[in-house]
Amino acid sequence: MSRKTSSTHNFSSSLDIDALLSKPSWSVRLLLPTADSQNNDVPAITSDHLHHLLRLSALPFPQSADEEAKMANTLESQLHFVKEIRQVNTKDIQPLRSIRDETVKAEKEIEIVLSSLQNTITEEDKVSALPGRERKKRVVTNATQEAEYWNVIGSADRKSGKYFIVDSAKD
Amino acid sequence: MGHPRNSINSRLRITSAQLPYICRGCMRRLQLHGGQPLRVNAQPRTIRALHITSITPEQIIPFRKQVKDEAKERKSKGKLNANRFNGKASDDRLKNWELTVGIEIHAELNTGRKLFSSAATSSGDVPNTHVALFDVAFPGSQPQFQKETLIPALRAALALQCDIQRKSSFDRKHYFYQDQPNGYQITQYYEPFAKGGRITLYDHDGIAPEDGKSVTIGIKQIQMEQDTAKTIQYPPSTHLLDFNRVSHPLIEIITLPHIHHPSTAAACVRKIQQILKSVNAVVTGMELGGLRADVNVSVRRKDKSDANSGRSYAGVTGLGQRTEIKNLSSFKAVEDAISAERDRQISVLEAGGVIEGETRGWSLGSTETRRLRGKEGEIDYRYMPDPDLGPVIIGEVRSFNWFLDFYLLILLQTLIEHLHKRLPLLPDDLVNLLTDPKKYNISLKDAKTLVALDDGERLEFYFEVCNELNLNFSKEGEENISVRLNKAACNWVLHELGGLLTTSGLPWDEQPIDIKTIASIVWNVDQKRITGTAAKQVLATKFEGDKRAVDQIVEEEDLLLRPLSDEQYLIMAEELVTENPAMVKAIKDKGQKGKIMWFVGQMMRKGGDGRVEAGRAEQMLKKVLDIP
Repeated sequence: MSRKTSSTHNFSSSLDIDALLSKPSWSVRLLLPTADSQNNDVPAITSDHLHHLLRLSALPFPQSADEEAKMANTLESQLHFVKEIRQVNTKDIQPLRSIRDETVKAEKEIEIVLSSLQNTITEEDKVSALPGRERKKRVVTNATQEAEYWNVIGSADRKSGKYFIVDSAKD
Repeated sequence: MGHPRNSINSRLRITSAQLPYICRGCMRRLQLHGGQPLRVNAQPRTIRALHITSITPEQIIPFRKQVKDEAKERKSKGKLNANRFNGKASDDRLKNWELTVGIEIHAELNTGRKLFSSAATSSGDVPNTHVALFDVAFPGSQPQFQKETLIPALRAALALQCDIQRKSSFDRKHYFYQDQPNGYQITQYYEPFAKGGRITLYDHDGIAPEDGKSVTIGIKQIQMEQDTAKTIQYPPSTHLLDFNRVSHPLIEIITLPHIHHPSTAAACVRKIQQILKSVNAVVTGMELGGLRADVNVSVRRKDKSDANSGRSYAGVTGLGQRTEIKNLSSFKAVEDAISAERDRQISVLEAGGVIEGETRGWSLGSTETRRLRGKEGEIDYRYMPDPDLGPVIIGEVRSFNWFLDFYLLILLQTLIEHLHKRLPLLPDDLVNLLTDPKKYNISLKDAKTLVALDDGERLEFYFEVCNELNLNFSKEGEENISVRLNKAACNWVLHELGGLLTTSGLPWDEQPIDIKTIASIVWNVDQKRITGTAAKQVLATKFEGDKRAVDQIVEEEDLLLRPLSDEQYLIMAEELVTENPAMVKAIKDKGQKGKIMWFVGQMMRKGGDGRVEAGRAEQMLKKVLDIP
């Protein structure tokens, strides 16, 4: 499926772009279970299993057997999809955690060293005859004020004095 | 603090109803001022001031002794109760079974700001006043790692001898609960910032006798994580939430399963708390909720015949199925809960049952743990790296800490080297220093007490007193005076001052005695300018608020020790010899030289408190009795 391009290639003469793009050569449906595939490699989703997963995710339970069957089917398709994805060879590749600059230079920039924490360390009072026994002084800065200065409880539905109220009774 | 009249009087066994109420502080002072101490017999009494302060021991049972006796009684009764857990029957069972315990400790770090927002940490402030947008999961808010929170965390890890990881990262631990606004807790599951530490416990730390003189518990890792909100419950189902505490930095310390006895487990938690406090990583302890412990308990047969003990954890193999006991809030709870769970597991296994891997709870006064979550309520945390947060990278760059190191050797240090160098002395090191016969020469018991009292402030005060003594008071050329003064100072700071504080009920931060006063008293006693009793009097006077300097008080109250002259010794010796011919005979004829000391004792009593020096008395007596 790979397409090689060359800057010196004369497109208009050897490639009919429209023809190439007219028919899809791949679809995500290839990753979904087909009607005749038996899903042997995917374990059947039991009712208990489904309920366990729904409980973990704090999602509502299905209301009827139909709904439950539908949910289980969807889940099985999704599992098949995941299995197909896992066919890709990822040997020796670190899993991606987020789109972040992970170059050596970038790492150097975010390193935490003595000078990064200089201010805080020097602000700790030395109050004793013992070497290195430093007491922490709570420092309130502008940044702190900024972060805290908003009406925390303002948009709460239920409150009591300065507290939020949560009712855990099962209705 | 009030002194209920009845308890004081009943303790001193004063039965006379017409005796005026005198508080303990005043009674102590009466004793010190040379007044006849109150007699225990129920007779009308007056306070007579005698010039001889001879106390006849049979008449008084010191208050302290009574308290000790009562405590002993209670303890022996308590042992009968404790035998519910460790009775004779279970002692036999324990022969066949080995207990294994792993501990997870959560400790609130001493930081100015929260872990992922720049809101301030607090405790006991007005609810919901130190909350940033991210702390209550306001839609669209992002976490911002506050790197200053690393400082106490690194100190804790260094104090527990861990390897600091260059790169660590944050993960999400998903579960739904009202005190967790985001629906997940940010922790360090895959890459904690510190691994592979250890803590050594000694017999004087209170480990089980079966563990011998010392035992070293390995620490698997230390990770940083967020704290949850505070909930106040109004049964049946209402909860009030205060989000000030959300995202307060915590460290979780996970030990390896190297602990095999309940008392060792309690000692481990106690010592970890002490170490964390001593490096200032943590300021509130278990009593105030700043430190919480969860324990994992399993048992296995000692003869390894158990087919069920095939589990392993972090390299320790052959373990039985473990259960977790959560939310233990005191050292005693740790010990009792582990004992109870061990007994329960042994009972189940011996009856042929199987231990389920479940979470259990414990409340004070229970005899057995109770199940909190069964298999149906099993939690799957679905750990996943947090994509909103980048890795924490601790650099190896060496730099010169200008401000602090200016007066010291100019050293280029990494962050870790710097923190390590400036780490305060750990409790064990302090105790070793204090018990060193060449430095402070204090007994082990006193040293441990001094280190533990008042969150280290008593110890600081003591060091400052020693400093003062050695700088300003010690004579040149006299060897060992430093050690002698240090040891004496310990007695004054720990016992005498301590006694006054207990009697008055004052907390340490309100105590009125300053360093120079104690130093001066210690010096005067050492130089024999005043007697011990007189010194106690001076201390009590200063404690009451007397503003004069110690030397001034000594002069004005005429407390200077006037040593007796040789003639006076001679006269006293001759008097005693003539009054006690039987004793003299025993010494001279029967050669019972030990009886000379009896004479010395008599001389000391006769001559008035502290005025007679034992050495000189002995010499004089020998002269009078014609003994070489």
